[in-house]
Amino acid sequence: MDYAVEAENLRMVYTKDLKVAGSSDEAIRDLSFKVKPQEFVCVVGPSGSGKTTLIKLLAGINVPTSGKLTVNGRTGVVFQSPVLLPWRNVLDNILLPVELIYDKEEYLQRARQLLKLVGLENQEKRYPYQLSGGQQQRVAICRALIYNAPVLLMDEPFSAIDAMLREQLNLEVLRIWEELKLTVIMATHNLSEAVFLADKILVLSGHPATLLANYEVNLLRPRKLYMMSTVEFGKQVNALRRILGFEGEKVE
Amino acid sequence: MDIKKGVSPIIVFVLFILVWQLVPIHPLVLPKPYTVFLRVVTDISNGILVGETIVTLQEILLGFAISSVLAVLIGILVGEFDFLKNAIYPYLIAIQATPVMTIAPIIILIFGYGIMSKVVIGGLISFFPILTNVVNGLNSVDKELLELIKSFRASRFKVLTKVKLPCALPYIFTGLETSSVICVVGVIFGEFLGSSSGLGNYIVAKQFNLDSSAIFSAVVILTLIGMLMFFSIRLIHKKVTFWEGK
Repeated sequence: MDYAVEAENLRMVYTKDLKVAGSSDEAIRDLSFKVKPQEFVCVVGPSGSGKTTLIKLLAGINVPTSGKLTVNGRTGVVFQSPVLLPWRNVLDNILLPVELIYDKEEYLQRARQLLKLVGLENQEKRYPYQLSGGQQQRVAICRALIYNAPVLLMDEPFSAIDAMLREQLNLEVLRIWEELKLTVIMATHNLSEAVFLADKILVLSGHPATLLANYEVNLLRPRKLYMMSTVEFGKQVNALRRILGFEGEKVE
Repeated sequence: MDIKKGVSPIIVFVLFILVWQLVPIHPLVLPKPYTVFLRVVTDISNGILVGETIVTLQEILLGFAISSVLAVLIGILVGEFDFLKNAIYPYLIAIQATPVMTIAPIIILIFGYGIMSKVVIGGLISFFPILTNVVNGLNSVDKELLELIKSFRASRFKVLTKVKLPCALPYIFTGLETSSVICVVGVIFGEFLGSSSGLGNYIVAKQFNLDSSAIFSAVVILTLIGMLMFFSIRLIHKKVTFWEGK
């Protein structure tokens, strides 16, 4: 079968931008995993464990030091901060990737569809400073999807957003994922968020990141918020904690 | 507009005039504010200062315009290409570290007593604040934004024109604001050193005549020119970078 993403013995060592000349920093070691098309995958791990590095490798921003990485199709990426251009309105921000390469007119329709999908159809003329944090991040998602990229990469996209709104945004991401039949790979440090969203969770160890587990989530779809308070849900979050080795107080 | 905001500078102005009026220095050396005011009005109405003002204004505007264009172009090259930065930045700093005033006499020798030498001195002195701001502006672009753009696989030129330069605009305008004012200083200094016309030339001539109110009327006009330059650029700055501070 064709995979959306295939990684084999992925290794990433940073050599530039380090304080000590000649030193190196191994961020990822021997990472192998496969992602099926239309799968929702979360990447969890302690902070500094190379989640961001993995997303950047998948997005083609960085090139792996060694190993094999195949991504089938274009990727769109969403970072922790929306990084919108302040002099461009919502519509023009979404069209930026297009405009940097082609003519933007063809994609106008697509941009408006995406805005409708995230419920911002009446905001296209607004500027980023006129939007809330959640709205800005929605625009960033639209921008990532402007090319019909089949693979959406997200690096802790909602970690700067308050808990209540975050749940709403997660539901929205699930809706977009289903509607556009995307493959989503999302880094998060929030274990319950990961269980709530994902089909599969890549659990990374600390520095350098190795794969501790490829955890299959056992939870029905469509996901509803009440599921988060079920015993089964809690058990799975705890299972992740156990894999990561920070259980805190013993539950059992 | 906020009334309080408009009133406070006026209060400061009135206080300043009051202190000036009360300073116990002989009026021949330091003329009273009202004398200066009358002098400015008569000098302008009978046309004495108009010709001089036009000459000086030309020098300032030409010097500033040429210097701005060159500084922005060179700033883009230096800010965008690391090898250029490595190769020429130390020398640019060296030129900046050399006080322009000390090479001004040579510039006068080369370009003569006319407008050109003042254009060069004014331009030279306003060059570096713009250049350094362009370079800093280009280097200040958010790292995460650049990584995102990298994932779009856009050409370097498009990234520069569509993303990096607009990001650098607030810096570039700050440089232009600073330079607009010091350009006036450079031009007047050049006129002091050697010129046949212009407000600086007028001031030196009047100094020999001990005509201090004439000097002050030229100073008032120069101050107005400098302020007009600064505030016009500030106005454009605020219009263009409307997102700043929001």
